[in-house]
Amino acid sequence: MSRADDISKLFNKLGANPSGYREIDFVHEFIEDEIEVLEAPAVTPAPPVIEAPSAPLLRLLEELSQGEADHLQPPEVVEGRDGQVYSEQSSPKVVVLVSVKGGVGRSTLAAAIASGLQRQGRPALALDLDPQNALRHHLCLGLDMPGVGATSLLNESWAALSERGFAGCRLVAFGGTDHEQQHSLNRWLGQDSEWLSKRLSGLRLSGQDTVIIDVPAGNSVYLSQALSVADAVLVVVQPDVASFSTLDQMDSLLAPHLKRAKPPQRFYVINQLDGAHRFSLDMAEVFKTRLGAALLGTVHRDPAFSEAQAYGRDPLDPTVNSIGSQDVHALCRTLLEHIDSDLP
Amino acid sequence: MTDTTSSTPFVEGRAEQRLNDAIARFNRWPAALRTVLVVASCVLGALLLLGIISAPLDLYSQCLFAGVCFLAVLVLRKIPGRLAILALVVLSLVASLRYMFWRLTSTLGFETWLDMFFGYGLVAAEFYALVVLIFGYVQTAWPLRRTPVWLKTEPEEWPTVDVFIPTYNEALSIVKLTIFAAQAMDWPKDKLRVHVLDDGRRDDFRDFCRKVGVNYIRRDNNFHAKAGNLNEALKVTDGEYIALFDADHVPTRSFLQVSLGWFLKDPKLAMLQTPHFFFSPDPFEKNLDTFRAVPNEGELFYGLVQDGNDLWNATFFCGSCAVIRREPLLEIGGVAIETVTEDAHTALKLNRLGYNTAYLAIPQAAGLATESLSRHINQRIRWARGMAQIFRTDNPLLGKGLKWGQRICYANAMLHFFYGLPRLVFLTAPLAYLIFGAEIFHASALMIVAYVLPHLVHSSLTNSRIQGRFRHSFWNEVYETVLAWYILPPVLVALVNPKAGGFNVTDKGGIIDKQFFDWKLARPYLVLLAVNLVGLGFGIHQLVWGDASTAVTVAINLTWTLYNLIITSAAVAVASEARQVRSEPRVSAKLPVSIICADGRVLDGTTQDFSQNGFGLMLSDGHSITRGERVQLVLSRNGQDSLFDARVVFSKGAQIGAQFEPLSLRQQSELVRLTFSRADTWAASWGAGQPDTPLAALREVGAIGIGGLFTLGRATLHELRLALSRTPTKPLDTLMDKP
Repeated sequence: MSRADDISKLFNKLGANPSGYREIDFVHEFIEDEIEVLEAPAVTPAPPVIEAPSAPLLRLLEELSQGEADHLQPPEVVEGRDGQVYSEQSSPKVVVLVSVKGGVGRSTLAAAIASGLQRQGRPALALDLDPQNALRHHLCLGLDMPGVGATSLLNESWAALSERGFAGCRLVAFGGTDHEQQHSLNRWLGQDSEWLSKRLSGLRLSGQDTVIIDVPAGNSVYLSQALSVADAVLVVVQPDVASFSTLDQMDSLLAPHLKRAKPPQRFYVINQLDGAHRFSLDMAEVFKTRLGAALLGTVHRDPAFSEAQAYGRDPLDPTVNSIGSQDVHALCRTLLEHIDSDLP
Repeated sequence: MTDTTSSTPFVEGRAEQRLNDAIARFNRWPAALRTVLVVASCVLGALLLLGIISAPLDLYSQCLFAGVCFLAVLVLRKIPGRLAILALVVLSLVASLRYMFWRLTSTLGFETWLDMFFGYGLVAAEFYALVVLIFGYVQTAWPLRRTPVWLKTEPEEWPTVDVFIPTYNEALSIVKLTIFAAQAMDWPKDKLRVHVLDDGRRDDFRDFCRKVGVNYIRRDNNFHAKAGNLNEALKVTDGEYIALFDADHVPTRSFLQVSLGWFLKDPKLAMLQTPHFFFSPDPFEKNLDTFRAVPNEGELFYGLVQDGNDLWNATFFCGSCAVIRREPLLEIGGVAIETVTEDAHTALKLNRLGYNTAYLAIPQAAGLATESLSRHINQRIRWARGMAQIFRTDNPLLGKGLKWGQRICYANAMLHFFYGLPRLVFLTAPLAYLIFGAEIFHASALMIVAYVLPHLVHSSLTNSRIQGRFRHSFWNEVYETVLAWYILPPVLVALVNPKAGGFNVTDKGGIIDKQFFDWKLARPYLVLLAVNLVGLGFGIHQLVWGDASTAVTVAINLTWTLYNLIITSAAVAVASEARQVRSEPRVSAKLPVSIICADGRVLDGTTQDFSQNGFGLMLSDGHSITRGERVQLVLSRNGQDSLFDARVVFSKGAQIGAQFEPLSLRQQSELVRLTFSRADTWAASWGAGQPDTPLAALREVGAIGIGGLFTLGRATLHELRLALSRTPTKPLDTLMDKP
């Protein structure tokens, strides 16, 4: 571990080796006033930013501390080891990113996890099961890629669909579909519950591969299909009250799939944490208390991501090394630890 | 000059290594033999020196001798290393002692009482200057350049340290910086006890200390000022070591680990001093605009003199930024209370008991310099009075327990403050001849030149070489001229009656809201300037219309007067107080900062300066932020971010000024840890100034002198206009405290 730069600079100046220096962490309790008034606040006091815990948050905190509602117990992490294996040993791991509500950055995160895994030496394939067909933007691939939607309707194999994106990870896009095609797909998928499982095997992936599936927000046939093959479900939430209130809904969505013989592991990730705002941090604490060990990681809000998307750059570019990309890497590592522990 | 050999880290030259080897070999010889050899070579050297300084030479031989010596100096000053310095010192001593010998034996045949009065006055002043010069050489020719000893043991085994922060009337906004920084020092928290010793008995201080969790000590009297305050605190604390910081000296987090090692290595070490470093300009630097360009008044002391003292085990305690071992301090009865410079006297007492004192030339704390000239002068008056008191009551040349090197170092420190009268004599001496026609130098003009010139040239070139990084040529004269008149009376009073006079505190952190000329303070310099101008007039008159046979003598005196005029007008320039806008201490330093804007942009920037209330920032990549926007500043260390809410109060291109919103105590503490208490900020600018070149320094002082004359002219016009327009002038508040 390198020394803080001021210590190494001082030692450098003295011509000595800084390894003899001990950095001693400062832990100290201060008795804070309501607001410590500094000597010269020359600017006129501005209306305070709303950072105090809002009423719903206070209520939540209260409920949590009392532990009165049993639904607030941390869900158990089910780690199935034995039982029916849905596929052979050489089949890939499947991770599904889900969220009840849209706009929580699910697709961005799916793409980032795919390229993050690839960067960590794990071949990854991102599968877009969202008719919005947006995942390709996040991995910077051509606009008119053929995708699973149209191909499946023609009952053709997906083998030719995958293309390489950032860091060499593969993407199978949803592809452009019109309303009628989507309607047909909906009907078909509603009837054939093994649709995805069969299609995936057509991709001829090995046990080394990891498939990251992005599905539409909320309940849909795509969600059910994806969950039926999932080894892990990653529930994406934002540190706000709206996301928090969807947790129960997500529980009921997942419930049938968790009952099957070899249920997928269920994890949560907090996306777009705003370290600059007290409320955001407080809310993250609430999630932590509620979710316990099921909370896999936290990703900070990072403008570098939207910027990267706008300019067609990889947000995980190591030369940028933004806080968001560090978070994604950490998330990928934890994710791998968990799904690998599932191996016999 | 391209001499960088004396910059840290210090690398020994080859010649020096050989010398060190030779000394090491010599030290292995039997003690008796060594004593005999040392005594013999001393006697031989003394006889040789005596022979050289007393050898009578006629004008031409003396000129030839001086010429040869001068050539030797020109060569020697280009050679790096300390051996060359020693050679320069020897040559300088030869020139100066020859001059003094000749002066005492051949120039004192005065004829009239007037001659005798001026003549003996001048010779006495010169003799004083010579003694100080020689003592100064002893003190500074071979600085020890001690390096820190690092703690080898585990933090659990480190000793307990009491940190004393004595305060009397400093504002809490300044003292809290010191308190936060003291708390944040890298030392095991159960072994670091911070105590605020409040002689002002202020409740807001007590409350603040309670909130941040440091001890607050208050006594019911103010006896013996700071010394008494410290002694009271000694009674109620029991740490093995005491680290002392004046209320406005902010320690770095590395202070204790850098300074404590020597105590564990040397069990007889009682006190270790580190430099007093100032992050704001002192009045000289402020009014002359020389901050960080010309070494300030204190830099010679902490850069060189203390390091030289250390060789002789005579490091002074300077009251702050130091560590003391409790046991010896209690043995001498606590901090000395007999004089107003309790610090130096305490060190003297420790040395007398056979304890060691040490100096470590690494700035590990920084503080505020005095803001106004009058306060600066008051501070120096106190030092001068205190040193004179010690000289009278506990003279280091007398008494038990000191080695002769220690005696010389202490004596020189005290003698140094007696410069008031000699300086005034030098500033007026040529007038005795020019105005009154007194023959104070009973010798031919050319003879005088042949003897005086080598004396002056050698001593100034040698000092320029020794002190170059810490004091530029001619600046000593400027500093002394400003202070001479003011420290003369208190020193004389203290010499006659050491008990007279009280203690005054220099309070810091003030604002000078508009530029003004301190007429009251400048009075002595104006008088000196006036009489020297009159002398100049007389001299020119004599040169043009006077006797041709005295032309050379007149010319010499005129040159001297001209030089005095330059120095005096530079002193006048100091009296013109520059405006001081900012009330908070501001430090220039470049630290990386991220700025989170309200719209979510994250920009990178570098601080230009920081204070506890805000940052001056330069944004990278030509970004800008509009005025009034709320931002968050992110400082990080070891990957940990600290966020501070701020508002942009100034914006010009990529340059912005951000002022913090009210910060919580935790945030204030974090801010101090990430800014003021960084380990490297002060050390980086230590001794990094321009080395001295005498001619450039003369040009500089000359330019400042001319600037001073202009300022004086403008201020006079201003006063005249005020007088003419019959507006009742308000008496200028000179900020002069009651002496």
